[in-house]
Amino acid sequence: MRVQPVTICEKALILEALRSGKRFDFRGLEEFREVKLVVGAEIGTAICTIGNTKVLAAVSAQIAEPSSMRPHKGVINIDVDLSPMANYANEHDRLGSRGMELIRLLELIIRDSRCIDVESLCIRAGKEIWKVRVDVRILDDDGSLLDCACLAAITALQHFKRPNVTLEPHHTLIYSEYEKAPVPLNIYHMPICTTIGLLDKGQMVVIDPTDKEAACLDGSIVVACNKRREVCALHQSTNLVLSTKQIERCVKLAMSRAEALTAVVSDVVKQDQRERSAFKRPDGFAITAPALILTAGTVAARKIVAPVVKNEPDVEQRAMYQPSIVLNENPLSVGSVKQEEVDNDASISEQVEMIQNSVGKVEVTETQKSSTISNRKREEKEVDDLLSGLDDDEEEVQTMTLGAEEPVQDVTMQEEEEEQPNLLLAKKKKKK
Amino acid sequence: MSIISEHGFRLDGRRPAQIRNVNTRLGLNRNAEGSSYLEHGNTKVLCAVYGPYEGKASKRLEDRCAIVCQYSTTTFSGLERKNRPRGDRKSTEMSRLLEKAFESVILTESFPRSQIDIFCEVIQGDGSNLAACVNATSLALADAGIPMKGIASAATCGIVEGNPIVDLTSREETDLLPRVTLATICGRDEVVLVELHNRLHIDHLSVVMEAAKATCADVYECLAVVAQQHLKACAPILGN
Repeated sequence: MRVQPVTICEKALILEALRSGKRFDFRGLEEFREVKLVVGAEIGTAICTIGNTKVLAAVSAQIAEPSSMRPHKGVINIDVDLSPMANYANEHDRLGSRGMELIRLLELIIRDSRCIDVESLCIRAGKEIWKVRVDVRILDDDGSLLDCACLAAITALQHFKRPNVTLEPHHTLIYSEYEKAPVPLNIYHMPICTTIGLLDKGQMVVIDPTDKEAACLDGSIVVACNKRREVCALHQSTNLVLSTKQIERCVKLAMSRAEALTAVVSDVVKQDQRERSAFKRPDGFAITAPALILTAGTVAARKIVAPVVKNEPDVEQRAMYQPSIVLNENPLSVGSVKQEEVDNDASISEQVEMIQNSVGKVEVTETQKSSTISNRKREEKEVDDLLSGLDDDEEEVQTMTLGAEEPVQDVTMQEEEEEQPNLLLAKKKKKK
Repeated sequence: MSIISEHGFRLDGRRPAQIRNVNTRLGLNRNAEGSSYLEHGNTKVLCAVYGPYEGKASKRLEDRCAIVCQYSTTTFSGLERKNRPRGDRKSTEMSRLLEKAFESVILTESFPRSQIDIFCEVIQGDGSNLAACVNATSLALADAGIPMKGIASAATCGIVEGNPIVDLTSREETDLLPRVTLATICGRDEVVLVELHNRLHIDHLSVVMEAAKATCADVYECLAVVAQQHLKACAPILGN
């Protein structure tokens, strides 16, 4: 489905509100939405929500062969799925320009800023490396998608632990989590992404715009920063003209945000670790759903009485019974065969008509459908008769070479000879 | 090997704030509406502009013209031979960046329901490829006579130990050196494109931005002279 543009009056209303410093979700212009961060029961999963935007990230690792260019470095792959579930403007299995931008920026922030130590992901140089895969699933889309996706991915990476391995001379041993403690990834820094919307040629700053606000704004600038006061990515998201001063201001805003969120991410991960080390069962994503809706857990267990099971039928009966199932399994294909047969009959009857016309002498009294076979027989008989008659004629010609009425008989013979190829032609057609 | 020597020179003998020689030709391609060839030292870019014309229905926009850009590098442009001249992640990203930058440079509202195609081919890549492409495209658009807010000029700028260096070569574009590509209109403080590679400390940001902005203004001087000369050569009716 195509992107529905915001109506003119709605756009005017939103812009008017923004210009007077108000927003529809009761925020100030430089106020962020509430960020919720939850790590899953499974290692290396996280859900992040910013307002209504919701993103799930899951990290997994597998052993793979490195590329010949980088034989001693691990690989980090990022996969983004923008399903139509999140926003009906998204197309199934296709990243639009928005999706492409999202995936490219995520790669830029997570891979190209070198926040993960890829050298430590090497097991055997040139032979075996860890291939870490970050799956980002957009569950709900309401603006600041990149911020949310980035936060979820970073949290999932922080939470993730790869299996421990030891090297033997000819093979690698991979341990399960019960044998040897899994190893977390080496993460140097956490880039946190911030989307800043701009209005009136960059004069007004609207932080963390929702989907509708973003559609009304001139454009936005995306800044990724880390705790060490470094800018990891800077991207002018839409076509707008800015001054360098405005860009620097946006970077400063993003920087304070990054410091606050880095603390949140490490808090969440640390708390989860503490709970796990105390053998407390992790809550997982269950806490993201409101407790009132979760009623399945309160149902009392009931005793279920199973009905008495009869003896199985005899083996012979089953053997007899099975083929019928097999036959009935494909009602569609059976139907199609029947259709073909009907078609075949129709074509045969059509051809028979043609033959009748070409022969001109054959009379058919029966119905077309039933007479197909008898027709064929009759034809054969006719041909035989004709051929035998021909033979007779030839004999006659041979014997009566000097007869008085020779020309007349010759004419009849020619007529019959003309008919013969016609009939053969018809037969050929029928065979086709 | 340090990027700036103790005497204050770079690997190719330039000062930190010195750009490479800029050579240009306009109107090379007979079929294209406008075309240009541009050299920044050893970085060589060929650019052609087609349109505005009635483009594909799928790309058509009701209120402005669509800009479609294709960035490609020749297989022999870099140190290693490339397998795919276009269509890889990096090329698509470059194309998208160019499209976005020129969407805000060209007066797109003048041509609703039409399309402008921009083709950039990097013949030899020796650093600052994106900046060279922006500059070449500006000249090609000027040659095509497409109305713009001004000639866009771009420059790549890095920072070494607190000192900015401008117009980086491929030897200076290392993994560790933070670099910013900035494009401005007419050398003014109007940024249409900003792209950062590698991590840059916030204290260095304003230094790099200032240096990049000054370089953009320098490059703009060069481009403006070229465009004016070409205009005089092509249209003697205008006088002067």
